[in-house]
Amino acid sequence: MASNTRQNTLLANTVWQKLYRTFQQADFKSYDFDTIRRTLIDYLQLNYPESFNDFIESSEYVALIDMISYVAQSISYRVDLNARENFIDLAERKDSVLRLARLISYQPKRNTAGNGFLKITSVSTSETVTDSNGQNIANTPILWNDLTNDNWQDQFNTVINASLPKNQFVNKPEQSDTIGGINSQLYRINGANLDLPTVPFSQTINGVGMEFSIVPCSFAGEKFVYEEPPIPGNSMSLLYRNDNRGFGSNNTGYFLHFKQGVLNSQDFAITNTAPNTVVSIQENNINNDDVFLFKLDQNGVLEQRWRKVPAIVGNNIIYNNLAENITNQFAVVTKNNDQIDLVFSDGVYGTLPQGNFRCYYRQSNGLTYNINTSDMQNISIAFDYISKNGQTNTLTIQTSLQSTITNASSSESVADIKTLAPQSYYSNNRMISAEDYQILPLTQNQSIAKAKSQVRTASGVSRFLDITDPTGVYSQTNIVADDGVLYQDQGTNTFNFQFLTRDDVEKVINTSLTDVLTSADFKQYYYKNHPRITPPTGTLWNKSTQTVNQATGYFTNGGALSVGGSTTNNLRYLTAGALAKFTPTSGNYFMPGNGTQRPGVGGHPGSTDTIWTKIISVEGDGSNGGLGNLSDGSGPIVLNDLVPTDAVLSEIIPQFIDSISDTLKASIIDLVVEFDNFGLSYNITAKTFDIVTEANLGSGAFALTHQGDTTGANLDNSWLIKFITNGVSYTVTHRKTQYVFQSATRNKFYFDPTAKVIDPQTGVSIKDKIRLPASNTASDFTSSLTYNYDWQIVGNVVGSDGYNDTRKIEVGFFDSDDDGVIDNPDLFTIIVDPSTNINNKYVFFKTVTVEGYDQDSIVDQTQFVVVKNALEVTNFAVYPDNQLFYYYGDDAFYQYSATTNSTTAVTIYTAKLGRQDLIYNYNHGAVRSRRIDPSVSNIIDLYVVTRSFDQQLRTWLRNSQATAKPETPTIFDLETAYLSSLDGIKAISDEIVFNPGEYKLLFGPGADASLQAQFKVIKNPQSTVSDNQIKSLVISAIDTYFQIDFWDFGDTFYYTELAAYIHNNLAPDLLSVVIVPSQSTNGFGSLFQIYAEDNEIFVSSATVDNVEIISSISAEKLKATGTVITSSASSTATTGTVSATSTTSGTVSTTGSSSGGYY
Amino acid sequence: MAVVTFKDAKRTTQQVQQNQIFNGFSTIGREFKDPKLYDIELVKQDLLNNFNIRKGEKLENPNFGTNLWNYLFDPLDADTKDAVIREVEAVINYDPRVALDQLEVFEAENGLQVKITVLYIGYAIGETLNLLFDSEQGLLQGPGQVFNSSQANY
Repeated sequence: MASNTRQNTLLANTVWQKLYRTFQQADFKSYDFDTIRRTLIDYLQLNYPESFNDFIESSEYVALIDMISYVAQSISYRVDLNARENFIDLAERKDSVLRLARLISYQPKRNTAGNGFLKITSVSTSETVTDSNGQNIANTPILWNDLTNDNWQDQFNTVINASLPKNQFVNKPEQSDTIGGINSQLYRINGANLDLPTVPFSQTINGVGMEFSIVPCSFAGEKFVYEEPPIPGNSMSLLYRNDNRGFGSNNTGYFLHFKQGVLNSQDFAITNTAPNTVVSIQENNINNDDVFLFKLDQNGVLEQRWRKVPAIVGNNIIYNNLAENITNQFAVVTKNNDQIDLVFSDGVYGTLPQGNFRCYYRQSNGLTYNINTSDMQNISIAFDYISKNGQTNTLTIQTSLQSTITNASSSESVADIKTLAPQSYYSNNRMISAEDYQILPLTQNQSIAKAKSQVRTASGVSRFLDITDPTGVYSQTNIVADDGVLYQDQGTNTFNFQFLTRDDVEKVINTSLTDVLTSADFKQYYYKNHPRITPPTGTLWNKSTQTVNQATGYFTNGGALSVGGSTTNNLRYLTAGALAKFTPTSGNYFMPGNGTQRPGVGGHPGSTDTIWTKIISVEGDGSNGGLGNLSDGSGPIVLNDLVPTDAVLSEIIPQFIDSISDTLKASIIDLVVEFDNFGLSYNITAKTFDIVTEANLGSGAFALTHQGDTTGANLDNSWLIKFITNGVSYTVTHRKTQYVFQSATRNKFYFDPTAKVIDPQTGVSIKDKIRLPASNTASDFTSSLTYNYDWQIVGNVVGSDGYNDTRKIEVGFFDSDDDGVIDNPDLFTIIVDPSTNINNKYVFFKTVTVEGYDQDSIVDQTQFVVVKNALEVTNFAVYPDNQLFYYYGDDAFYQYSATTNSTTAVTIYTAKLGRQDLIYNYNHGAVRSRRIDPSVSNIIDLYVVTRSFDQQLRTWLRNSQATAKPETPTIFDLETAYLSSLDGIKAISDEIVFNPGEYKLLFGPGADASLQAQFKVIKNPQSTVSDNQIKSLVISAIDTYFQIDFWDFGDTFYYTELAAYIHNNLAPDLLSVVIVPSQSTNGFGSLFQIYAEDNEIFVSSATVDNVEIISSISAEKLKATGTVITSSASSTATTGTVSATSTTSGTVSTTGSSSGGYY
Repeated sequence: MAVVTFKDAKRTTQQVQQNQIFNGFSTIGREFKDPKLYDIELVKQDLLNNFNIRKGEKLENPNFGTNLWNYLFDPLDADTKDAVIREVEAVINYDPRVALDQLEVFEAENGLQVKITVLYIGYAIGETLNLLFDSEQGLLQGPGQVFNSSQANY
């Protein structure tokens, strides 16, 4: 367990000293100088008291005793040293450790070469070839997925085909299989080379010059791609992969396999055959994978390949001989400095070697490093090939790296070997039990820093049946249920900030305030609460032209109408960015897909009775001076949807500006530096935020009645955002409307806000959505909805403790065509409509405590009698004992007691506007889509963190996240790197699916707002250490505490453990350290225990800004304070000292979208 | 003062009766078959051994010994003389079997000459030791004088 390792290493590191002291007191320490000397003197005193008593230090005989003691100690030390080197736990010399590891059949790993795949971005050939249009494309670079070239695919295939042998062409490959869930094909260039088919190239990686080689690869007989053995005259292979996500996908296209290092060879002759022959290759840095052995014929030509086997002793050699029919076999033994020995068999179950041999081996640089995509771009490689007509031509290829390579690693350290070898022995080098799956990925690959396996079972299903992963991780889900609950959560969010300079304030405006303006719940508040504009009656739309997603035209009412600033009626709100609602003319319905309206009743797929669209642009007065169309036949107004002619303009939502002008920014800064209270109110006419001064700022519910009031009577409640200061810091409060969808009992939701799933056919993002089908009753509970209504899933609902409540999901208005305009801002009104039958428009929750955390559990509506207030209940006696009442006018709950015939207030319930028992269709697009073979018993999710990625991430955190966040390795990269070593030792009925492990950032920038914290430290007044040094030491201790060696996936963080470690390290300079959440809604102690998900591992992102030196602990100091960095969208935006504190009331939601363009 | 020829110095003859209270061994100036020493002779030999051990020389006990040898090349000014006196006092005081009576320090050709009068406690015997710390030949002992402690001037 990681907690044991952590505590033993970090906290109990004085145990050996205690033991040592114990031995010393018990006089068990027998082989040191002092003890031997004392023992000799004791012996003399006991046995020869009459003959000798001159025990003074200057005595000559005492000098002799000293000498004897010293020699004895020295001999004991060396004997002990030699003995220690015979135990793997104690050995220090690498030679000893390697030998001891071999004793238990553990194979210490040499270095791993950085390797991966370069995507071919362009090809050209010197051969005269013509495309399907008859165009000669010789010497013309053809770019992959060239959007400017309609014929790129035909031309690309033509060039590739030209370089292939006669029996191969595109779609008729040499090999074809599904590798890593992706359709893969292997093509072979009809090469003209007679030497080894490797192409060297050099690149500088992280400032270090490195040699690489393009190597031929294959996947014949395996489930992974591997390098082919080096055979002179063999041809280069091209790997084609298609993940069905379009040509723009990183995993679709032609690829070349590359490895770091130089392939060298050594010839040797074995004349005298003998069992267990050993041949040493005394070259350093031979990597762990690339050792190939061939027997040579009398002409020095490769004659026969000998197979490398894991071990050449015992049952291994018998198995390889009898089951695998491998007789020409050898094993590779790792020696110091990554040299190797080739060990041959005993001659019984394997062939004794005799004759001339050649060993190819690749010497890599033995370093741990990452290769970023920017490190390998536009690498040009040329291959000579024999064309179909027998001529030698040149295929020139440009390649680029598409994903970060993190598999390079130095050789396994002595410490790792000592840890992993016994574990490997324990698991017998095969993965059967759950424990094996945790251990062996680490023992087989030194570049893995952390691995965790999880099993999901799916036994007993035919291999030929496609199965669905019900968790939604690997499969798209399409679930229908009838326990849906939709409700509205209207309130406020707050964030806090402190500042020193105007720049600090500007950073807050650019990050935290901008985040507020662009957030879904803020815009939803605007849509819901600001008045809609009613246009003049009879205003119709005249569509002039239409393209794929846009229509041009003008408004008309018998003649073209001016809009925007050219008119004074309500059409003045029709400006670019405004939303317009259209309804069909009476008796018609819309077909927005093709921009028509048709007579009859809608309700069928593709039909609608409302179109909301955005005005993209208005030219001039929008009517071309009353003429209507422009001279080219297009209309002066461009709409973002295909609104048909004669559609009736029924509502306008004025443009909402979600950015802050420089003028407004300067005004805000001026007010903040003066420590003034003020608000921001949105002016729909001017389309700007107006400042509401402190004298006019109201404190009541939102109302536009006194918008712009300047009487100084605090009447203006139209503010959407207000800034309130206490003279030290600011609390910024903004109004919000949040919509939440919940499954009462039957379903849970999975949403990854960072993932974007693209439909390969349409190129449109697939969004997670909740569809409320037309079969639901309408808001009157009598008629049906008529149309299907889609809600876009925009975020997870995360509690203040970081718990992601998967029963509910935050939803928002849908944007079906990704045009940045919501389809319908009236969704909630249509479905719930609180204005009618309000008694049935509440959903109820009961606060229950689960594992120490408060959660809201849905309670059925039928348990409550809903009335406006108590006055509406004429006779309580007709109700049964314990009947619950909800007075929505007072937002209060009461319970009736028949015994006393009275009601008592109850506080464990809450009510929100909404509906329950909705039928819904939950549609989720899986970003990691892959087919799951259902015939296997177990699907093992193997989460992997590589050492180089871990190093890179921690370096990035240490550098204040100033650069782009390191990319996690892809699933394909992980499979290529590690499946070969694990496929042979896993159970046949298991299937391993690699996943990159995730980091859960704590405390500092980048961490979830609820997990950001301040460490408040009381320094020892006697200490001479400076405050800054204390801060630095605290951060250093925290970083050490969160080293990856001390943590496992899914661990639980306990603050007291961290505090103990900090005290251990910083004593006596530190008297106390407490952790205080930065989010003001979190109380002290909320971060004392933090959970990680099964695929998450903790890391601290805290910086010295998260440490505060205080003089004493008081209740005020223990309140949540500090800085919450709410914006991490831009790496440059978060550099420096951006300080803003974000707080929410109740639960908070991580926002995001499965697609871009929401709002 | 008279010049002492240290090259001719010999081991002081033990002139008192041996009670064999202190039993020890030494091979210095003796045949190996008879290394036993007793009482005053043993105490004296231990004292001379101590003068012969420079600080840092003794195994696992680097603080034992004397720094007196470090002053052989220093000008014998008042500070050096004080330092030498402190070193000699430390050596003599280390051994509880002897007490320092008189101490004189003189310049010598290749080092320092120290004349020490010590009393062997419990034996009523004193002895004047004439020691030359010679940078080339090491510690040499000149003629000394054994006396009854009743003759001592204290």
